[in-house]
Amino acid sequence: MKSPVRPVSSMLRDVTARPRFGCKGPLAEAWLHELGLFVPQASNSWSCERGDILLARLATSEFLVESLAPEHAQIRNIAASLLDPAQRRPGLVPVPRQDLVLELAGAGADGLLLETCNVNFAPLALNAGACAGPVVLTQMVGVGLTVIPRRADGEVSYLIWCDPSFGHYLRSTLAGIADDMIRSASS
Amino acid sequence: MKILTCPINGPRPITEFAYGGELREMPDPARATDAEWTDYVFNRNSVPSTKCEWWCHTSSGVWFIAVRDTASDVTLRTFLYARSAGGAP
Amino acid sequence: MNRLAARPGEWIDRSQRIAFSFEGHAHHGYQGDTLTSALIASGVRTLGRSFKYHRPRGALSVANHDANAIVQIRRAGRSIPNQRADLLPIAEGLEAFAVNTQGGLARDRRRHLDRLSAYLPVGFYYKAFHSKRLFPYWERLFRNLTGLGAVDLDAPRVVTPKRHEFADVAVIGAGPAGLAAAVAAADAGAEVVLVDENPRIGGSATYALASETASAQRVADLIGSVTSHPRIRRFVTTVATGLYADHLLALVTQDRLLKLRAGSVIIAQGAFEQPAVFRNNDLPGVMLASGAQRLMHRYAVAPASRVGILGANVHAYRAALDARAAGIEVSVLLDLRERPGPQSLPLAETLRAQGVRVLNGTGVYAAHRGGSGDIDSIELAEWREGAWRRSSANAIAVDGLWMSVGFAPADALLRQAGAVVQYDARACQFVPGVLPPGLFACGKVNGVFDLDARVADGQRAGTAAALHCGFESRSCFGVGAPDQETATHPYPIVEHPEGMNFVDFDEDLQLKDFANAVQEGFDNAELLKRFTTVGMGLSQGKHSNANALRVLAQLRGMPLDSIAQTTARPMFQSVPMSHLAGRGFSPERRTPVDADHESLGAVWMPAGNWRRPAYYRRDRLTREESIAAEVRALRGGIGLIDVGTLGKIEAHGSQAGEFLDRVYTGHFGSLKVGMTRYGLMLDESGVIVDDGVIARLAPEVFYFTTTTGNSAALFRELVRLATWWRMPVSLVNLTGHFAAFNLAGPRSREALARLTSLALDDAAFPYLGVREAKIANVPARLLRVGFVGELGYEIHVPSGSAAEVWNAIRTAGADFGITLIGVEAQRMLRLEKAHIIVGQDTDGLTNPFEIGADWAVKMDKPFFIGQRSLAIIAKNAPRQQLVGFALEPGRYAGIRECHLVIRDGDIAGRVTSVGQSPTLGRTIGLALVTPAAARDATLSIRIDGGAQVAAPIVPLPFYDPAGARQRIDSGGARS
Repeated sequence: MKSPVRPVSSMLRDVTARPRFGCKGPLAEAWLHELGLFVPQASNSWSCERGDILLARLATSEFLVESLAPEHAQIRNIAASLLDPAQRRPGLVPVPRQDLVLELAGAGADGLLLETCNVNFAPLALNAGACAGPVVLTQMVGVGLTVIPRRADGEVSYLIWCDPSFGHYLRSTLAGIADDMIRSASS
Repeated sequence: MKILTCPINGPRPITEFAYGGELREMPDPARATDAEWTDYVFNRNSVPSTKCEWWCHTSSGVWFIAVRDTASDVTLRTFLYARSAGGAP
Repeated sequence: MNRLAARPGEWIDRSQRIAFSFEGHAHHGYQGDTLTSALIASGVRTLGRSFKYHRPRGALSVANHDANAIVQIRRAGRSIPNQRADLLPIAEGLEAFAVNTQGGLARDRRRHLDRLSAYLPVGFYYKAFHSKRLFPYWERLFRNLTGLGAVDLDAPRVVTPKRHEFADVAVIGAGPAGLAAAVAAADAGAEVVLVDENPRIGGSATYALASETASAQRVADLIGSVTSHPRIRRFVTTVATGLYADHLLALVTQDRLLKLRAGSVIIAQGAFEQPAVFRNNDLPGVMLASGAQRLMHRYAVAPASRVGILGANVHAYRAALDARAAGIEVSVLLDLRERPGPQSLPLAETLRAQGVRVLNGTGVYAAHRGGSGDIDSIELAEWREGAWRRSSANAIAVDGLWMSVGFAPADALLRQAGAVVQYDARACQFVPGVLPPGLFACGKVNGVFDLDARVADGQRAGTAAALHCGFESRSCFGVGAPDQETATHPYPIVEHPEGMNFVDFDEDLQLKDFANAVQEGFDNAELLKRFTTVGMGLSQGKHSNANALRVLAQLRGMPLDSIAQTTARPMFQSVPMSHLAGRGFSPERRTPVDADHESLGAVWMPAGNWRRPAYYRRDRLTREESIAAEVRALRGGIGLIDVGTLGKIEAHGSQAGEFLDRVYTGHFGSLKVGMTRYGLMLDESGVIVDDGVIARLAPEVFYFTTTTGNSAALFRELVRLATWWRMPVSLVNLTGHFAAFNLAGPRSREALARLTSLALDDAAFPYLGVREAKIANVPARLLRVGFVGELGYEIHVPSGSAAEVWNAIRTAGADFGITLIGVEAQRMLRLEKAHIIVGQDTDGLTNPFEIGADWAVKMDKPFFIGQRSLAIIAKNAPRQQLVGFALEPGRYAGIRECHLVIRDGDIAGRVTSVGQSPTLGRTIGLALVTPAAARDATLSIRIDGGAQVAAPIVPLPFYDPAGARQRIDSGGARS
């Protein structure tokens, strides 16, 4: 995970290296406010009010905060503080997010989702914006994951978070499917 | 394939869920006789009826109760089990 | 050649001529031809041999509603069995052969089975082959005689993707009713998917209404509305084979399976034309009138030159007019009805005016075979004394006979979805009655046959289906007028003393087979189906089930509506196995340093859905020697095991300790911060389900491990328990997000000291303690545990930093000869300490008392899962007990896990773990045995082959009983 962004195939980029953290617990939301972060209220929703930080509410009360830029000192420092036992706060539960994170975009992205996921993303992508949208917790190719559709400049892209132990499997399976799709489209 | 509606994540195919057994009251272990306790542990009522069941949406970890008619396999409604006094899970 | 002049709307492209071969003979056709149409155009009438009697067969439905023409094809170097000639498009260089023949179609050596038919009645195989001695002979014989097609063992594995699709309204069938339904639903605002198995939409209207220009125009207008509608997507050459719960449709295309989820579904799949039953109704040249019309209108092929038509509806008359328009002579039109209906009457007049003989109240008694093997004449039948009997009229010469005596609804998907059908005596067919919510039917499948009525029926269904999804239509549609005349004859079935009057062409079932079956007592539809196999052939009853039910009703003297039909199940049309298999996903989990294991010579093994190194390959050593070397290296110095597959969970909150007290059998609320304790978990019946180590990192933070295979399900169950008990405990599943390494061996502390500034002496970091510190500058949790029985530390770090920590450990340990340890060595190390593995040394019934884990069970707690059951179990005599055994040094004796312990001729238990211990130089093992066996001096173990091995029982653990190795003091300050 040395280079910041690695192309996996023409449709997929590996953005695991970006700083991120997760948290939950009774004091999590208040703590995020203290940090100056905007927390969306609706279940399964995300927003990036500042443009460079994405904050997602997963289900009802778990949060994922991710830098949309390759580097973000503030996010990285917060993530480190959550792992520091000396800075433990009762009521604030750190969720160390070591996920594999992929970005799916471009022609064929929707087709890849149709092949692998039983959620209908078309209406969700329509409702997504550049700064807010829905969070989808579902499965693809047999693995549970978190999907966030974003629509910016008319283009739709999908961020996908996956348990890192499934990382190799997910990356190679999706890349294989993407390559098959590209190959059969050109033949 | 059957669709089940998670109270938080909405309608999804049944493959995204795990079944957690019928919602049943546990008898007080201190007061139950051996026979009553054994009946609770091993016996289930399989007569077709409307049952309250535990279901988990595995991708999100959300547990909820589904009220299901086991004869017609129609789910009448789904809802979150009452939250604890302390709040967040 | 039987090709007609070009006609409007034909499906062939005459500018593209295609060469292909059938049975080794060269033929030509056009782009758009199917194999059937091209062969008939070429003058080939015999397309296959029947299943049992090997009778020559020709085209019957031309629509794959029969299995007369099944071929094996060679294409692009592959040999593919069981292609349907009615559907197979011809391609340049295609080679096709009929299946089910020996020595080719023409000279099929099995054709003589036809003459043995008296010895092959229905169900003969149930009766003739019960001799045990002869059965192997019969089985070999029938395996050679039967079977369709040949599997190509060299076929490459082709991965076929699937795809999900979504729509508000799915319309299955693009005939007039389906087209109208799609437009009505889309006009109301719904997103519509229209599915049809043919390459073009229009359904039967593309061939059945050619003689009526106004109707043809109406259909063309409908097609135009559909193709230009922005909310209608068309899936052609797509077969809907299954309708599953909540409107999930399985659609099969040439290259993949589609899973279409719809808000509502409209079935407009039409009806299957049914054959008449009379002697020799299976001769080449005898076909359904709709089949003849498909040939004439879609492919411009004349199926005959002098045809007889047997009918009981207006469609027969239209087919006769089509024949005349194509230049085919119509020798006679036989109408089973005494009087033609109001639609047929004017057409009868037109035909008579053209010189065609039209006879009422007359049928076919038998067809006759000419020298070529095809039909050459028909004997007539008339209704006399309650049955069809031979008429005294002369036979009529024909070279083809077209039947249009009735239809059966294509309602399989409706019935799969639970629709109840009922018999409509006026229409003489089953029609849908009560439909489940969101499911609609229209058109011929709904018993509506006239064009205007079908269109109206489709509009009604489309509007209702759209409304079901929340789209309201601004238009209002009424119900169409009832059909002017019935399309189906109630009993087009003629007995004949010499038989060969076929009801099911796929299975070679004659009329008398049904009488025999009923006589033997198989007299309801389900039993009749299984005994005769009617409807179980390749066309799944499309042309046979309706007549079979009529015959059954007549034999039983019962009305048709009292006969329950057989259950309809997916799939309705055959699907290639590759489509169902798809890509075959097998999710596999890997630890963060998986690539290192690979490059260091790991031999992999599955552990749950993870992969783990079983051992690391060593030059010139066998597997056993490598594993033994790893065991010795750890006990003698220092070893490193990747234990990252363990489940890892955090519990937070003021009630976290109390929660763990309820879940595990031990005391955890009172566990001190900075210490760990072994945790045993039971289910409500007192059976062991998991174990692990629980560490208290802070007053409100616990970190604990679970077994590898159980981690996901266990985490889910813990969340459920916290919810059910209404306890405010936050649970985090860190299994994949944390890596874990076990650094163990007498030199492990020295190596660890090089990586951290944490004080490691016993006072600062005692056995069973837990500390948080930085290892190679990475925040880590260190647990002093003793699973392998040596001084050791389990180091847990976030996965993202795992590789650097792993490398740092290996570097620091290099000076001490650090060795990588795989799963096999780890299992031996723990066995030497008699540490159990849940699920191997315990089974689905093992309670803690049976494995000597009483010490871990604190019955004085207010509550824990399984406690009440243990109180009951403790009152009973123990069922079994875990004991250890060891053979004399050097003796192996071939004992393996699950070998049985025998005592007094009875099973007294089994071996759960066993292996050759390099540390002790002898075979050691654990066994769950009866208390009586446990009291003996030796166990008698039955090994492969039946020999009994005497294994002395020894006290546990085998190695270091005092546990001194785990608690080695540093003997001084850290280095």
